[in-house]
Amino acid sequence: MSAPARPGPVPAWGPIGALGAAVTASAEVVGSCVLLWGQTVRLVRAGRISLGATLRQADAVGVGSLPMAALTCVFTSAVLCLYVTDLFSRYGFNEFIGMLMGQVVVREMGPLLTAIVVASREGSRIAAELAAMKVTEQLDALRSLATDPVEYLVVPRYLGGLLAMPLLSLLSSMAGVAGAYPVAAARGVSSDVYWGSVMRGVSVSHVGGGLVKALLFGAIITIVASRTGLHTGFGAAAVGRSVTASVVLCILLVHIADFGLALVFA
Amino acid sequence: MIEIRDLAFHRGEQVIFEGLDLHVAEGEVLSVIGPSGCGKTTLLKCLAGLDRPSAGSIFLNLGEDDGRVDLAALNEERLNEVRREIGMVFQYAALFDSLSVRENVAFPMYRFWPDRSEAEIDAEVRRLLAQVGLPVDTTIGKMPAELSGGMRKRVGLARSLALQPRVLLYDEPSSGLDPISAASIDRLILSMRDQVGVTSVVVSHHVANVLRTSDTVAMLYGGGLIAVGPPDEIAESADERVRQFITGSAEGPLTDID
Ligand SMILES: Nc1ncnc2c1ncn2[C@@H]1O[C@H](COP(=O)(O)OP(=O)(O)OP(=O)(O)O)[C@@H](O)[C@H]1O
Ligand SMILES: [Mg+2]
Repeated sequence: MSAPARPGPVPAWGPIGALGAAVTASAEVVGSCVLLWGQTVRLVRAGRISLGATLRQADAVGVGSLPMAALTCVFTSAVLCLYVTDLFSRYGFNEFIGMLMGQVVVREMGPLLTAIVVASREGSRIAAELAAMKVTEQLDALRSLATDPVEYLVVPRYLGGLLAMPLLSLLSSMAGVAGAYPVAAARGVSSDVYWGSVMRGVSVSHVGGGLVKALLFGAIITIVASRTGLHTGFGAAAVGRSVTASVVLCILLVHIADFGLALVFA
Repeated sequence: MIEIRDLAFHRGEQVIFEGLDLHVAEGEVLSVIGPSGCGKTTLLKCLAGLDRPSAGSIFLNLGEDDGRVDLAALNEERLNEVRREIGMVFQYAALFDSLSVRENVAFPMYRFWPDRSEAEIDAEVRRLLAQVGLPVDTTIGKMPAELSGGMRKRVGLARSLALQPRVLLYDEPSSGLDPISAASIDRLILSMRDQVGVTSVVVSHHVANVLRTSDTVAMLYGGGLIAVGPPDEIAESADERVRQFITGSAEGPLTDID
């Protein structure tokens, strides 16, 4: 006879239950991000803005991330251009290479890669800063000095992100399109053909679409990173968990928003 | 000045305390003692309007214009106004570590006294740093990370004094200080009371100092107040648990495991 089974925790729904729990938890987090976003926008509308702090944040996001974002765009564009040139030149489509590179980089790759770089670099910084302030009671100290942490900490980060992201994305995209050219040139595509094709292919609305995306990504990253930081648990380990959660959630939401916008703009 | 009625705080399932009733008269020093983890910091955070209690009321008497308010029932916006009247000294100082000592102490001044000149603020910062017993010229330019724990604590105290609050909450103000600095903090608490009429709630583990400096002592244990009274009464308490805490003995009802 076997011993009676020990009454363990009831594995209610197995993997489905785990998935359900994960979905509920994510919905909760996204919901509280939306609330924080609303709160931030209300404060901005009410003019509760510190210009100095906003510019410092814009500088950190924009100037700080430019080398990494541009580098990522240049290399990714160059590799893409390699494949495109190989394929297109085989069929004599050289005059379409610049067009394709321009559109793909300006509308999609530039904003997206920039957002991923900023989510990793600045999203993690914002989450870590606020999380450290949470665990050392600095957020409580702010509140006890009658200062709203959202106004003092989140608003400048949010506005700084909004200010910096479009510019950053535009510069990285330009660097990407330019960085792809030498690859095409090495395969015998002339400067006139490449740049003429870029000019014909990229319209003002493409650039505008890229800027709108960048703006939205900037908002997502700064709000999600702030909310994860502000909601940190207790102790040093919680800071690490918040940073990881922030980067994962930022990148995930950026992809979802990117896909949604692509559908809208298409 | 402060009246706590039937106050309870729950953290999820865990009951931190329940049914607290306590009264602190204007200009009085109330000390809260009790073993680690009994909820002293939580109680102070409720009094500061930082944590919202699960039940009960905290009435604060703020004079004619504000009248009597219940911290537990105010919304965040009203709380923010009331918090200016309440200073809190945090257990680990909670200095803003991206700001220098000067900027930390001046922080509330910049926010609430926009018309003061830079020179006036500077003078006020220096006065406060001197008041908490810090060497002004060598500390004012430092960053919090460059200070010792005791110095940070005193900067935190200076910061919470900046807006001249009517209520001061001290979370272990003298832990981590040498005996002389601890005594000077005690003197500061008393001088705030005697000269400015500040009402204070002090959480402290220094039983001897507590008995010397407070008007009322309350002991928090097991989720409730087991003794409240003037220091000499507490010192003579018949309650075994209070006696053990006061004498600091390792043997007794507080450490008996049942
Ligand atoms: N951040 C937290 N997360 C979860 N539980 C907490 C947290 N802080 C405190 N607690 C719990 O709440 C209880 C009361 O904590 P509190 O910090 O108020 O105690 P305390 O009396 O100030 O202790 P000490 O003398 O060590 O500072 C503790 O038992 C602890 O388990
Ligand atoms: Mg404590």
